[in-house]
Amino acid sequence: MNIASTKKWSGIGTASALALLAITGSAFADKIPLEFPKPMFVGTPVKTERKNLEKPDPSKIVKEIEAPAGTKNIALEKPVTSSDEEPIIGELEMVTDGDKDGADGSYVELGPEKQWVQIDLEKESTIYAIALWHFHKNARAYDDVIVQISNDPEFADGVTTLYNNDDDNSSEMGAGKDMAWIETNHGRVISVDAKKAQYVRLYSAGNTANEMNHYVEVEVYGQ
Amino acid sequence: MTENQSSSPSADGIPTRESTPLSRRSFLRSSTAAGVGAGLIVTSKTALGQAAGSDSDLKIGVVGCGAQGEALMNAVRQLENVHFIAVCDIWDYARNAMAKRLKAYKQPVNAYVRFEEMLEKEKDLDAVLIAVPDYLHHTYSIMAMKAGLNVYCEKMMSNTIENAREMVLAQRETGKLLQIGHQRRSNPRYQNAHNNVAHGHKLLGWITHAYAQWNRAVSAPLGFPKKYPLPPEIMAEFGYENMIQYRNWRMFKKFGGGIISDLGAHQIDLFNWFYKTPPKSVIASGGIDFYPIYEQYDNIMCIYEYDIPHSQWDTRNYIQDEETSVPRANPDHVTSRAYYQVLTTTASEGFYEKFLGKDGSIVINETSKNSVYQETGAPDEVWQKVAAITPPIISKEGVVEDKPVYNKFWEDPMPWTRPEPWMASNSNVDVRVSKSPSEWALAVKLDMLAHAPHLDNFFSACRKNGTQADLNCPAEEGFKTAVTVLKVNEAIATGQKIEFKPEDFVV
Repeated sequence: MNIASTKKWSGIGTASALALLAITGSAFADKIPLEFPKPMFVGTPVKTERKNLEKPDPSKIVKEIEAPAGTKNIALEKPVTSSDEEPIIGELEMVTDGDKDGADGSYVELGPEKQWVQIDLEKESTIYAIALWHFHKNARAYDDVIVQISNDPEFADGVTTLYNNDDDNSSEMGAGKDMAWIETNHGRVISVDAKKAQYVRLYSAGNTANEMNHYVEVEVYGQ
Repeated sequence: MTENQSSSPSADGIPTRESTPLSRRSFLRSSTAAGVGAGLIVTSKTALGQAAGSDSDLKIGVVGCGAQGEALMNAVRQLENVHFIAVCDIWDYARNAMAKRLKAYKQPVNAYVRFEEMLEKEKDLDAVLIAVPDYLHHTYSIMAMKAGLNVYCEKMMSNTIENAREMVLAQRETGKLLQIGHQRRSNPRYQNAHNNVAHGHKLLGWITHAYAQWNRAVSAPLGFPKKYPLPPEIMAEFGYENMIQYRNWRMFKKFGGGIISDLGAHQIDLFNWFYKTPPKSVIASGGIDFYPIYEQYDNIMCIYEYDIPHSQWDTRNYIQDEETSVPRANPDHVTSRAYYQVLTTTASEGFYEKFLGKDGSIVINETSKNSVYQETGAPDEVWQKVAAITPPIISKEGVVEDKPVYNKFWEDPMPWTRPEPWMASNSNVDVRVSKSPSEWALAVKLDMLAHAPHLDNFFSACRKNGTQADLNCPAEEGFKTAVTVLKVNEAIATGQKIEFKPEDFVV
């Protein structure tokens, strides 16, 4: 790259930045901050014990997503379907309604055992990260969290698994080495390596406090 | 299939009157069979789709479908031969959720808004669980007992001493069972600590002090989903001025006794249980220091005094050595004390209880803490003898042994090693520090949800048409705790030491 004078560098534009990226392969241009809801601590603690439970580490909280300019939460207000057609509490729209509060009225509760929710991004999109809040009124960990993407709405073909903490294959979708984590108002960010898909599906199979499944919000950062 | 396991191991013929066999659909985890290996684990596998069983099942209802109703429901599901047939709640958000959950668990229920209607229409009920706000505990318990049902009523027994008294009187009048939900009294881990360690083998010696805390982090008042308001006429009928009061009822005087009642009740009940007597006095300090919208104190520290009869822990004489024995001043009792703290602005160290005796101390809570510590001066031969008992009461399983710490050389006759010269300059070593007490694990574990054993104790009594003597926390005991706890608010308000008389605890 020819550098004619320092003046040219002072107003470095997106095109030049991307060109730089192409050469250096380093960080994306945009840092999209995550918005966190207020923390809540309600009720009596229940023992959270899992073999593959990650120790909470405040220094590892992901506070922003690094992605190319123009990336945003493309799941916002997109249609949601589920294995449980009659949620126990709330409605499926709550998964993508932008409300991350932990309180009653902001989360959907699905029936027991293995359940999934699926977000239709309405076109094939490039995904850089998924941010997920199951439930954070109090501390618990969700089991068999498996996150997949596909262009097939039935998830029969062309399925890519992005996350799987089902260490003992109890959900019979293959054993995963990812960790279970204790839910907080900071949610959980899953990095995605610019993969393309129209549908995102998230599984879980109960949690350490009870057998139900919950979603406060799922965000998909892409374009 | 399963063997019914006694929930508290008996040792050396010491009676375990408070243990009840648990009926459950599965059994111990594969690694430890009863009486073999290090720890007795009481457990139950939850099984989905365990449909409503035979007609010999107990049929129960629950009134109050909020967080505690849900917790009780999940615990009941771990037990056999009992299922729900009815739920009741004034708020449709909570009531519908409970009904749908039970439907998903193949226990279809009738759902009611009003408890009176549930009692009137559900003729097959054997018992009812009461998990509504405290101010309704007495009304609904009495109503249910008069309708011929046995009652499991959540703690606090009530938000006033007078209402609690009425519950005891109604129980006597109707002869139905009334259990108060202080569930640690049925927890086999706590029973082991109480029956075998604190009493029984008296490993701690004289328990001079108890300590408990419940620290919880700052949390905003509960809101409510705008899509599911409570109809204004129902709010008015039940006395709520607004949804903030309804959702945070514990902190408003009309409905609950505040944090000492909500959180402290459990742990202060343990003080009375371990000391085997209610207290003789309390002093307390607290305030509404952080949350301006609440009516009840948001932080409390209090100290109780107890008269402990000499027979309980052989305290008649102070025995310094074989030749020096001095009788204690009071011919009847010694004084033990207990400190309780409940904070809502910090989660530091969470919740737990300690029982501190001269020979050892117990540190325990409902989740991970489960240890007993042997003081250096404790009679080691007694501890070793107890450690050899099976099924095990205490064990070294999972305990990481202390590194030696240097003793106070001028008071401990035990072997003392002169520190190496280099240690004089090592600021980390303090040769004046006592040897830490040696840690043991309390060997009984529980792998069920915390409320399950207490509910099971209640259901067992129901099935055999038992009496209050079959319950681990009968109404009369709950009443003593209600008085012990509710007086704290008065002690703070008046700034005075409250002296109890024995008749204060008796109905």
